[in-house]
This record gives sequence, structure tokens and C-alpha cells, in this order.
Amino acid sequence: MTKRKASSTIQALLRLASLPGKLNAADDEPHTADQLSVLMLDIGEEVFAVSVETIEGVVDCPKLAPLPFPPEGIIGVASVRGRMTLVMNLSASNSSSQSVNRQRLVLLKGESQMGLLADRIEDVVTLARDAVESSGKRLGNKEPQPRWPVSGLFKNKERRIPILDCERLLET
Amino acid sequence: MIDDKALLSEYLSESEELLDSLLADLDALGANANIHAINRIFRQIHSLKGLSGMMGLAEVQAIAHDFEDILDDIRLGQLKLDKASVAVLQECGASLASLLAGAARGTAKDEDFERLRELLLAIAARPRSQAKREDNDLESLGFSERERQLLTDYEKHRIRENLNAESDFFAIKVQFDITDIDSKYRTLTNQLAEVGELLTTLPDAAKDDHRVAFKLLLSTPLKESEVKQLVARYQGRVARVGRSTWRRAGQALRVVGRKKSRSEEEDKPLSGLLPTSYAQESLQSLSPNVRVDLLKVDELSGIAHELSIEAQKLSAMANRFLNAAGLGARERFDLKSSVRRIEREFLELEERLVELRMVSLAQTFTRAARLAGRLARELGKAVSVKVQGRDTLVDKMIVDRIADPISHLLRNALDHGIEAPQERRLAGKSARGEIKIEARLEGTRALIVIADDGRGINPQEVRQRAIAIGAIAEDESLSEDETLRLIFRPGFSTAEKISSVSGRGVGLNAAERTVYELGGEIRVASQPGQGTTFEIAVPTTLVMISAFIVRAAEWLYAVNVGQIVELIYVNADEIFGRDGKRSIQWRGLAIPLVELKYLLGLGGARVLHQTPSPPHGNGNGYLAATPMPVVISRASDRYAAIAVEQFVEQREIIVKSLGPLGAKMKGIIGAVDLAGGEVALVLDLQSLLLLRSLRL
Repeated sequence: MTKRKASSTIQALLRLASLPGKLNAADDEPHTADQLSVLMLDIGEEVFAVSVETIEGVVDCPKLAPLPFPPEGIIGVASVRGRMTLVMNLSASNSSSQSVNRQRLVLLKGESQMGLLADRIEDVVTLARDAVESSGKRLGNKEPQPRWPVSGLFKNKERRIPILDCERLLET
Repeated sequence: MIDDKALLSEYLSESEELLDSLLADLDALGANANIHAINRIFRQIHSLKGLSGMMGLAEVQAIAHDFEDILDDIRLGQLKLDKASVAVLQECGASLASLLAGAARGTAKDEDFERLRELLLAIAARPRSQAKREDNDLESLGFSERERQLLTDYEKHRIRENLNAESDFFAIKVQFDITDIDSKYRTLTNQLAEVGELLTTLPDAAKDDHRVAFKLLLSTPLKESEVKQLVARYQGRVARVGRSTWRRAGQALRVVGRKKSRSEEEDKPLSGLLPTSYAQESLQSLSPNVRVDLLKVDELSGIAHELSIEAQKLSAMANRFLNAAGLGARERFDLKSSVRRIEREFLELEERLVELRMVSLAQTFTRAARLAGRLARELGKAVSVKVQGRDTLVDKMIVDRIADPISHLLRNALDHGIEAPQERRLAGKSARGEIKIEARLEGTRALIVIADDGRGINPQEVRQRAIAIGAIAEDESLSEDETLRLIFRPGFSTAEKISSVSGRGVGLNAAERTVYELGGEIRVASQPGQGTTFEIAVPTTLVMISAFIVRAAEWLYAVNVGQIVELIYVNADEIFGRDGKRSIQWRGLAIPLVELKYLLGLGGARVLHQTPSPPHGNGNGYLAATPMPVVISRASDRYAAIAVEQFVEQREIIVKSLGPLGAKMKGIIGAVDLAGGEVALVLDLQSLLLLRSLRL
């Protein structure tokens, strides 16, 4: 990711959401091709990360309409800024569409019209690309395998956080 | 000359796009042009020829045909490309471009045609390759005698060129199910074209009747394992062919096949034909139209709709303000009229944006008429095709979607409806059959009629066939209309043989599904010996539709009024049967009653309150406290009653897309914004009924 691209994405996030103050710091930091900015979000009991390159913005989740027989993970549709957005809940305890009040919706970029439901936005962190473990050697036998496609993992406060592979997530 | 202004504008707009890419490709052409560039130019000229023919510009069509012939000779390696001939080809392109616009407007002069003809003749007179056209070299690739006969001259030429270039060849055998052959074949050939040159596609023996087999010949620099990997998802079998012999075959072709060509110095100089000055060449666009992606129009419609909702809110606020504030009469009048004007303008903006999506059926109908003529020739039948209502305007998306059903109905009419000339004479009819393709508006629907004066549909044959495929029981009694509708059932075909034109029994069912998905329906009427008429009724637009809003569970849903037959209230004592198998009497028919929330997977049948003594003793002993709102809808030829919690209102809505993933979900057409940030799904009741496998 180039510095310009990262900055504009983060500026967009700032405009659209009241994220933790550390976002400003992330914007000030120089970015190089060796670095990656990710947004950390709490979904149920788990913490995931998504590359800010793949994010359009973060909004409060509006009222959802449930879909009949939706694909796994999709819980409903909401109107966000005049565009219909399919809402995906990656939580293991897949909450119903009625309990999304005060939750946040991370809008994904592109033509997909998809958003990820999050209980809380934790932080935006900038990582050195070599600090990201490839998803191939991702987890030991004792650790549970993530149910969703992951492009890599990184350490944060003694936790190993999976970075969601949004492109593959949309394909599944 | 094209008199119809709308048609002229459409023609110029479409031909302009073709000319732009043609001229760009000609400009990029060099003496060592690759075959893909020549093929692309050939296709562009071919399309321009077809387009001009459709518009009745016979002279342009004829000269484009000559141009096409020359490009064909270049493709086949019979005409050599050099610097001089490339320059003349480029001049031919520019000359055709100005000629085309002139001919369409009726301003082209004879000398313009003459000039282009002269240029084309000059290229045609260039030295020709004298290569021998023997097929011996093709044996090295293991072609059977029959397969060799199927190869076109062009395919043979490309195979030889690849043999000369010492390419590697692979024979790929694949089989596709007839239901998805189109998409799979296209995807596979696109992938192969990316990695090499697909030289030919030949028919092969299939495992069973439901599959179609092909043998494809590919030349590619890829390794065998890579080709295998590429076609693995299609379960294709890959074999390298001709490896041991290609060098020898290539050599032989070079030594025996070619004669020395005349040197370029002997050629007639072409440079004299080129203009000395390009001062008169205009950069002006041919048509005043712009082509816009439909998605962008949708986006604009969405924004206009949002603004219109905001304007309504402002209007409500202004009304409150008018009463509260101590405004003078003048200010009150100004504020009121200003608010009204804004509301009116937004409404008009929305309507205008919807109009932008509307296109005439002219192009589809012209293509349909051409298809009918071609099929008739192929089948040895004589028909005249009458087209009416080509100016009918319908949403572009709907026009695109109904093209396949129309083409299928035409194929059926030509193949099964219209009899052979001899048979028609014996039946006392004119030897030439007649096919009518018509369109007209009926309210907010467009009615498209495909009628033939052929042998008609025999209800007895239909009934027997339906029993044979298990669509109906032997003792099932059906009206004539119901019997005719059986032809839309999956797997139905009374054709004894499957022809290249129709008869696999998948098309009519697919055509009906497509039309239903658009919120429309297909009707059929037939008189044995007199002919058959199919009517396709579709909404003129899908973006703005007239919808009825209902509540089910706690959510609001919108249903296209085109899918609603009647809205009724049903009392509990009018409901028969047990939970899960309830039915009601409606217009003398017993029709199934289902809950919308059950169709949507949101719950089961509602509990009806128990009463000590049911008044009519209907057997279930339960009564609802209040009458139940019920939507009567139709799937195919059967009716269903769908119970909801509340009828809300009928209104015009703008349907918004749910994106690429949403398009794959069955039962939903899109969603609509309602007041208070609420979203209502726009339902496709027919698909929902089918999704729940409801036996209607």
C-alpha cells in the first residue's frame, strides 16, 4: 500500500466514524510498501483484523431486514447511504438480526455491497509486513482453526489476531 | 437513408462504437500483424455489415461485404500484408466511416462508394499466395477423415500456420450438460484463448443424451501438465498430438506447399491511391448520443430518490413552520409554492431517470426477424415475417433478459409450428408460412406476441407426453388451457427428434422461468391446423414498479402488483385442512394456503384460536380472532393463497439492487427504502413458492 492510498483510506474512516484516537497517529506515521494498516474489531468473543485498504468506512448499523434462506454468515440487509448493503456476522454465536442495535458496520470496498458486523472497533494498527505470519503456518494443533478465510496472523497484546481475507470471504 | 430519427440515432450510436474500435485497430496494424488483430477487424467489419443490412442500407452492406472478403483472404494467408497495403486498409476504414454516416443520412454520393471500391480492388489485386491446399499435413494431428471435412478453410490455414511455427498441439475432450453448456463452453474457450490459440472445436461422442461432447484443438506454449490443470474443473481429457511428426509435416508444407511469390517491386504501386491531404477529415462525432453504464443511472436514481424523501420531510417541516411562525401572506405563499415546486421537480427527475433506462424493441425485433429468416432457410421452409410495434419502449435490462425467450419461441414456431411447403399445400394453405412478431403496451406492461400460422399444438399429444414424463396422472382431468400449459413443464418436448434448432425440452421451461422472474407471464393459445400464439407480458420497467406493501412477522415486504391476482380477507372458518396443509376455496377452486413468514423461513403457520363450538364444523375446531389478509398469487398455471399479517398500502417504489451476491439469492428481486430508515425486501412470490417446493 502506498502512503497516499493509506492516508486517504484512513481519512475516509475518520470522516465516517468516531474511531479511537490512535487512528490519527496511524495517519501521521509514514507508510511504506513493507507496512500494512489493519483495523481491529471485536466480533462476539473473537478479535479479527481487516486491511484498511479493503474498507470503505464504518457506520452505526442501521435496522436490518432479514433475508430468506441466506448464505452462511449473512444475516440481513440494511440501507446505508442510499445503498442496499448485505450484513455479514462472523460471530460464532451468529446473533440474530434483531440484536444488532448499537453495533458497528464495517463497509467493504468495491461492488460487493457487503458490510461486516462488529461489536466494537478496537484500533487501527500499522504492522511491518514481515510481522504478519502467513496463513499457511497459521495455527498450532491446539488452536482452533478460523471458520473464515484468513490471509495472515499477527501478535497484539499477547493475542494472535487473524487478518480476514476479504476477497475470499466474499467468494465463500 | 434511415427516416426514423430514433432508429437513425441508435444506428449511428452503435456503428460509431464499432467504427471507433475498427479505426483504432487499423491504425495499430503493422505488416507483421498477428492473427488476433486481423480477426478482430474482420469481426468489426462483419458486425457493421450486419447492422447496415438490418437498417436497409444495402449499398453499405455490399461494400462492407467486399471489405470482409479481403480481410478473409488476409486471414487465410492468401493475401499478403505489407506496409503499402496496410496504409490502404487504413484508408479503407476511414472511407467506410464517412460513407456510413452519409448513407444513413442520405447524403452519400456515388463517387464516395466508387472511391472505396477502387481502394478495395487495389488491395484485392495484390500478389496472392499459391500455397497448395492439401490436407495431408493435417494427418499429423490425428484428425479423422470426417473431422478433416468439418474443418473450415480458415481453421486449416491456422493449423498450418501453427505447424509452421512449430507450436505444441493439444487435443482436449470435454462434455457438458445441456443445461449449462452455453456458460461453461464460453468460460472454457475464453480461458483457452488466453493461453494460446483455439484452432477448432469439433463434435465428439457424448456419454448420454443429456450431454454434449466436444474435441478442441489448442496450440499453446504451456506444458501438458499446465493444460491439464486448466481444464481439470471441466473434467476435460488432454492429449498432446502430433509431437513426433509436426516438424516433418511443417517442413513438408514449407517445401511443397508454397510457391515463390512475386517480388513487391512488381506490384501495382498503392501509394497513389492515398489522399494527399487529410484536411477535410472531421473529428466530429457521428451521433449526439452518449453511452452510459446502467449502474450509473441506477446510482443517480438512488440519489434522486433520497433527495425526494428529504424534500418530503422539508415540506412537512415547512407546513408546521407556516402554522407556527407569524409569517405574512406573501411569505406563506412563496414558501408553499417553493416547497411544492421542489417536490414536483424531484418527482419528475426520478421519472426522467427511469426513462433513461428505456430502449425500443427495434433492435431485438430486427434480430428476431433475421433469425427467423435464417432458421427457415436452414429447415427448408418458406416464411414471411411481419414485425409490428418495434418502437415499444421497455427497460433495457428486461429487453436483454427476454431476448432468449423470444428466440426460443421463434425456434419452436419455425421447427414445430410452420410446416414444410408441401405439407402446407396439402392442408390447403399457402406454401409460405407467416410469423408475426408484435409488441404493444397494456398499462404498465409490454405485451410481446409471437404467432405462427402452422400446424398448431395437438392437446392429445401434449396430454400423452405429459403422462409419459410423469407431469400428470393418467386419470387427471384438465381443461384445454391447462393441458396446453403443460408444454412449459421441465423435460417436455413432443419433438420426435432433437434438431439443431429446437426440441430438447429445456427451452420452454427456462423461457417461462425467465419471464416469471421479471414479474411477467407467458400465455399460449393454439388452434390445431391454424397456428399457435405465444404472448409474453412483462413490466415495462423494473426499477420503478407498482408494489403492494404487506407485513409478515414484524417486517415489511413489497410485492410487484403484477404478481398479485387478488387481495382477500379470509375467516378462520373458511380454512380447511390441518396445520401445514391448509387450503381455502377461491373462485370455486381449492387452493393451498401458506403463511408468507413460512415461505421466508421466519416461522410456521399461525395458531388459530380454539372455540368451544366451531360454527361450520370444518374439522380443525379453531378460529382466528380477526379475518386473515391473504394475497392470491399464481405460479405457472396454479394459484396459491399467501397469508400475511397486514395489508399496508400500494405505492410506486424504486427497487434497489442487493449487489452481486443478492442477485444469486432466490425469491428476492431487490429492496426498497421506506420511511424511518426501514428496508422492505421486494419479493418474487413465484420463486419463493418454488423454493419451498410447494406442490400447487
